[in-house]
Amino acid sequence: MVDGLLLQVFTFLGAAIISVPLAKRLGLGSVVGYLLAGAVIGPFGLRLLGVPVSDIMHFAEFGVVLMLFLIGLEMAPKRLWALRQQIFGVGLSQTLITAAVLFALCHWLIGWSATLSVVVSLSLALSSTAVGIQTLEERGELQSPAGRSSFSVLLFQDIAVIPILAIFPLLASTSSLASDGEPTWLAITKLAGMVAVIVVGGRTLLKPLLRIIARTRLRELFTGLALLLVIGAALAMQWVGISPALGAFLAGVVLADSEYRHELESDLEPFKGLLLGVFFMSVGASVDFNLLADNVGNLTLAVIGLMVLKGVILFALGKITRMTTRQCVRFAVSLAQGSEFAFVLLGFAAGLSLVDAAIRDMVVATVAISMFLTPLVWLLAEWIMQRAETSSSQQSKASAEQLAEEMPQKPVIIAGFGRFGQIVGRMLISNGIAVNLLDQDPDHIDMLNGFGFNVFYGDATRLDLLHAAGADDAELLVIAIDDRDKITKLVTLARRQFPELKLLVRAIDRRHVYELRDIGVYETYRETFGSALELGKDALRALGYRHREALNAMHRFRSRDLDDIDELYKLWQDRAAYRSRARAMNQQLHALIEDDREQTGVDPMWSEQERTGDDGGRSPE
Amino acid sequence: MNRILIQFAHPAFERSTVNRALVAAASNLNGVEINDLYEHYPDFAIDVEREQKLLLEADLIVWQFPTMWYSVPPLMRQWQDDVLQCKFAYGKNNQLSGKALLVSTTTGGSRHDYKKPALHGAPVNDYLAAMRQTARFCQLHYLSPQIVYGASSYENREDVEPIAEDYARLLLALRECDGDWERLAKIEDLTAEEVQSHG
Repeated sequence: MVDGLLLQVFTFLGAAIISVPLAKRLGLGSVVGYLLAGAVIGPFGLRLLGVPVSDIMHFAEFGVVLMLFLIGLEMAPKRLWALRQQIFGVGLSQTLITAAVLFALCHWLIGWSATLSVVVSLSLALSSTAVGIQTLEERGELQSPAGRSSFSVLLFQDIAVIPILAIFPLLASTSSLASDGEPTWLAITKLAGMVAVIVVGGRTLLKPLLRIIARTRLRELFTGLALLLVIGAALAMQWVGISPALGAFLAGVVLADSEYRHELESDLEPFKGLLLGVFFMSVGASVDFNLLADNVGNLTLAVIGLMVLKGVILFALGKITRMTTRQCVRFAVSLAQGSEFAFVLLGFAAGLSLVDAAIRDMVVATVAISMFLTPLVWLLAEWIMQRAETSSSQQSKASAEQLAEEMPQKPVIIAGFGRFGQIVGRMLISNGIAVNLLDQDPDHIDMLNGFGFNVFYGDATRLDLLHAAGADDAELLVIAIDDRDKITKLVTLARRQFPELKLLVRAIDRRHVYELRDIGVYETYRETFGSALELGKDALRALGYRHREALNAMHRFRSRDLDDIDELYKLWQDRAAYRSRARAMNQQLHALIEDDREQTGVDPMWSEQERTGDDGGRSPE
Repeated sequence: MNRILIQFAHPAFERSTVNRALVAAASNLNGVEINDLYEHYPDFAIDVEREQKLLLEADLIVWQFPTMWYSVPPLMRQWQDDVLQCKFAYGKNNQLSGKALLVSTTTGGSRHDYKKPALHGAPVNDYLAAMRQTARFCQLHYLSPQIVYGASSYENREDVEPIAEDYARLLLALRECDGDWERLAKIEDLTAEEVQSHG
C-alpha cells in the first residue's frame, strides 16, 4: 500500500526537479518550469495528482503568504512610508484605469451585463504578485525603479482586494438576494483592532520570544517559530476577513527592524520557494486543455488583449513617473499578467452566481496563460532591448545613468561583533558608513541593541545568511569572529562565492596568518598585535624613554616583525626549519633594531651632540 | 630620457583642487614617479631605505607641496631630517650630487597678498631660500621654482586644467631634455618652451 500523500509530494517534487532546471537551462526562468511541470502532471496531462487542483492551489497559496511576509521583512516602516506615493499614486491609478478600460471593453464591446463586466474587469485588473516578484527577483531587478514600482502596485492591489471582495456581495444583492454580511463599521473596527494587535504584539511579545528561542540555539525550533508566526498572522487576518498575505506582510514589516531579520529570512526562504513552486504547478495544472482547444481563437485574443492593454497602461504610468524606457518596459512586462487573486475573486463571484462557469473557466484560463507567458515576454523584451542598445551607441550614456540610478549605497559587512568587531564597527559607524553586522550570540546582540547598534543574529559562515546580509553587492567584508576555524571557513566561502568582495580578516596568531595566506588572503590583522605594540611603547615610556622615541621604537619593531612574517611564511610548513630560522631571527633582532635606530634620529649636523668623525656636517663646497 | 621623482606632500589632499589636478596630470606620464608621502607614512614613520633608493633612481627630484606657514608641510620636513643623511645627501660620497631639484608649490594667498606687508610680506620665492640652500648644500642643481598663487580661488576642475597642462608639458620637456641641469638652472622663468629651446 502506497501512502497517497507521500506519493503526491513525490510527484510534485519529481516534476519540479525535472522541469525547473530544464527551463532555467533554456533561460526561461523557474516560473515557466513550474507551470509546465504542473500542466504535465495535471488532470489534463498525465493525471498524476489524485486530488482536485483547487485543493492543492488553496494549500499552495500559503507560498504567496510567505512571500509577502519576506517582502515585509525587507520593508522597514521608514521605507514603506517613503513608498507611499508610489503605492497609492501608481498603484491606485493602475488598478482604476485598467479596470475602467476592461469594463468598457467587456460591457460595450462584448456586450456583457454591467455586473458581470465589473466582476471580470476588477478580477483582471490585478497582477500576479507571485509571478511578478519572482520574475523580478530572479533577474535581480527587485531593487531597481521598475522593481520598486512593481512592488508598490502589487502591494496596493493586495489592499484593494479587500474592498473588491466587499463589493461583490453588494453586486449580487442587486440581482438576487441581500447580503447578510456584518455591518461595515464592525468589520472596520475588527480590522483596526487586529492591525493594532499585530503591531503592538509584534513589538512587545514577538521580539523577546524570538530572543528566547534563539538562545536555545536549536535551529529547527527557530524555524518552527518563524512558520508559526506567519501562519498566526495569516489566520488572524483571515478571521477579520482580509487577505492573509496582507496580514503576513504586516507582520513582516513589524519585524523588519528586528535583529533576527536575516535569520527569519534565510529560514523561511526555502519554504517560500517550494510552496510558490507548488502554487505555480497548480496554476499549470488548472489549465483546461480541452477548453483551450475549443476556444483557441477567443483565448488568444483575450490573452494578447489583456497583456497588451495592461502593458500599455503600465508603460505610460512608468513614463509619467519618469522612469527610463528600459525600466518602463520591465515594469510593464512584470505586471502585464492576470493575478492569482483572479482565481479567488472569480471563485467567490461564481459562488454568488455573478458569473457562470463557462465565462469563469475562460477568464481563469486567460489568467493562467498570461502568467505562463510573462517570463517568455520578459525574455523577448530583454532581447529586443539588447539589440536596440547594441545598434545605437548613444544608448550607452543612458545605461550609465541608469546604472547610477539603480545602485544603492554599498554597505560594509562585519561578521562577528564581539570584542574585536565592535571596535571596528563603532569606528566605521561613527564615520557615517553603512554597516551590516552579523553575530550569533543572542546575549551579545541584546546588550548591543541597548547601545543603539543594529546587529543581526546568525552564523556568518552560512551562505544564505551572507546573501541576506547583502554580500552580493557589499563593498567590503570585515571578518572579526573570534574562532580560528570559523574565520578560515568564512574566508574560504567568501572567496569562492563572492570573488569580488574585499576581505579584511582578523587572525588569531602568526600560524593563523600563514594559514590565511595559504588560501590567498594577505589582509590579516593579528588580534593582539596592535594593542601589545601600544603596551610595549608605554613600557618603554615607563622606563624613561621620551614619548617620541618610544613611538619610533614601536614603528621599527612593527616593521621588522612584518618582514619576519613574510620570510617565515615560506618555511612554516617545515617545522624544524621554521623553528631554527625563527630562533635565529630573534637573536638578530636586537642588532637589526639597533641599526634601524641609528638610521633615524636627528642628524648630528643639526643636533647639540658632538660630531662623530669628520664627514659630519662638512659643507659640500 | 631623464627619470623624474615627484615627492608629493599634502596633509589634506582629499580637499585640494590644484594639487589634485597637478598630480593627476603628472601621473599620466611615463618615467615620472609620484611618491605620495602622506599616503605612505601617515604616522610619520618614514622608511628611509625605500626613500633613499627612490632618490638614487631619479635624475630630477621634484618637491611638490602646498606652502604652509611659509614652509613645507611637516611630513616633508620630517622626510628631510630622516632621509637627507650625511654620506648620502651631503658630505663625503654625496650620492645625490649632480641631480636636479625642482620645487613646485601652491599658495592659498594670491600674488597680491604676498606683496602686502601685513599679509605675507614678500614673494614666495623669498621664503624658498631654505630650499635653495638645501639644494646647494646637497649639490643639487636648483631649477627655477614653479609657483601657483591663489590655489584657494580655484573651485572648478576646468579652471585648473590649463595650469595642470602646463605642468605636464614642463615635466615632459624636462624628461626629454639633455640633462644638462647646470645650464637649465640658469633659466629664470622655467617653461616647457624655454627648456626645449635650451636643450
